Amino acid sequence: MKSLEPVIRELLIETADATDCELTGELNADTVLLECGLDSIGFAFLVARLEEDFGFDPFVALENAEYPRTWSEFVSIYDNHASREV
Amino acid sequence: MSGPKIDFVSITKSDIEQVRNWRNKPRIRQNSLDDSVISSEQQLNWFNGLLGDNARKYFIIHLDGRPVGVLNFFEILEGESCKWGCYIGEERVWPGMGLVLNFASLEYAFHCMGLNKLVGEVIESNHTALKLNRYFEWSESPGSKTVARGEDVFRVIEFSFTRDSWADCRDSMLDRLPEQISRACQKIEFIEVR
Repeated sequence: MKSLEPVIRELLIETADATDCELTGELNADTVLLECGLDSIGFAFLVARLEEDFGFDPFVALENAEYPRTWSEFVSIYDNHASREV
Repeated sequence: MSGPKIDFVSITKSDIEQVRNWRNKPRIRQNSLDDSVISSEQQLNWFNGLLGDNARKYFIIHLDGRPVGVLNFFEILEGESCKWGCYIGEERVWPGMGLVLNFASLEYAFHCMGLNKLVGEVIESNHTALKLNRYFEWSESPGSKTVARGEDVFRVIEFSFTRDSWADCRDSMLDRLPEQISRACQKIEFIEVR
């Protein structure tokens, strides 16, 4: 199954623009979310936008409440949830 | 399947080293009015000073039962006003939860403490906090304080909210917030140990 990373990345960039956030640089797997430039408002709207697009919010049913620290962990939460829905 | 749950639990002595570790992180200090590094001894003295002090309240923010940060109220004048502050010390948190903290501060000040006015002070370089307060439509004034960070001097912006203003806009704010944030706001709990 293909990763949702490209879609999430595109929507993150769109959301950053819409919420007046300046991304600090190229997102890579180890980029810490708190340091990527998308702030709390931006992430809140990104998660809502991803729910509209994907039809799910993985944080609603996150097992062990293992919240993401990095970009790759954020994407993995969506990929893992999507793979369970197939 | 109910989504993240955010609770605010009165600080206890067993929390204070964790709080000191968070408070001493550079990213927290750079946005604090007092950016000094805190020692264990200072932290213990600070905590002992909190006991029996009705002008200050400190809560540990719990995300699904796990401590992640601090929400505090100070300069509390019973029936009148107080100031507030918060920070998220952990990096592994629910993305976007800062909005819930802003909502929680207003709920606690007006519904739990019955105050008439809540005030927040934000260093002008703290863009995240400025944006959060502006999103919630706090009244804003330049204030007269400044803080030095290295060779730079920044203004401290004062934000205030009155109980009447919050009563007028609380429900519309819940409608305006992203849905998952609004749901979390409606589930917050303050757990006070007296």
